[in-house]
Amino acid sequence: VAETGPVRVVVSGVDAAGMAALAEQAGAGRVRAAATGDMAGARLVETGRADFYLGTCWSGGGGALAAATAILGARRVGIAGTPGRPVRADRMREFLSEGRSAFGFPHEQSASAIPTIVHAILEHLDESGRAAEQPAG
Amino acid sequence: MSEPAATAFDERLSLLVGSGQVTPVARRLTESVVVEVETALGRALGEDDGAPFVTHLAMALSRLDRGEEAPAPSVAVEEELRAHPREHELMERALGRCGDELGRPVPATEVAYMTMHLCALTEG
Repeated sequence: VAETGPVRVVVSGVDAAGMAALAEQAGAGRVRAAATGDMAGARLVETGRADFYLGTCWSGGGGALAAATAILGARRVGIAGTPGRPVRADRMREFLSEGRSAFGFPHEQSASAIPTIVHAILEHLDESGRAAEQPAG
Repeated sequence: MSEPAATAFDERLSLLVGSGQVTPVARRLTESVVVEVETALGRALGEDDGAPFVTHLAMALSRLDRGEEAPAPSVAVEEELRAHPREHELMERALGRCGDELGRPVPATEVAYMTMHLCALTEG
């Protein structure tokens, strides 16, 4: 993660553009999110040009993270939610403390999952001392 | 099933097989289903539109090949299915053939998720 500036999030999967907008909204000026293909997004994280990867599919556990798992390795990805098992802040804290940077969840959970994930990321970065950019105004 | 020709998804499928997430048999079956879906749609699929379909299909068939559990069902997906009987029938047929080859029936949950991915293709 870059020392300063907005947190760079790439979003891939079902309605990636809509999810990117949700991520920026949840980040309240501290997150810059872009919709990408899954392989391209994972490679941006791999090469340090993005900080975090969010992926969705219908089930949350397969297609959402398959490319990220292949490119980043299983230790850097976490299935954050599956149908019937919503994304939880405590699980996200655990993932982040383990150094994971790619998270998958079902599309139907996006409205609640994305704010939970983004807030957990920002809290984690604040606690680890990163000087994240504050919102203007 | 006949051997499919190379598809636009060679890089993706090679990556997934190389990382051990997709089995070689699942890859071959995935490529066959892609050809079947392309024929049904009357157009070729590409990375821009077909990547989620192909990825989920390859992962689902790998789960089946390994005898692993299907993902949990989604109420939202089950409800959405009722509006798409043609797509559901196409996926039941295509995945049924894959199941025959793998010697295991494809769980209804997998057919449901694949139908949703197919709907994304038919609805643009």
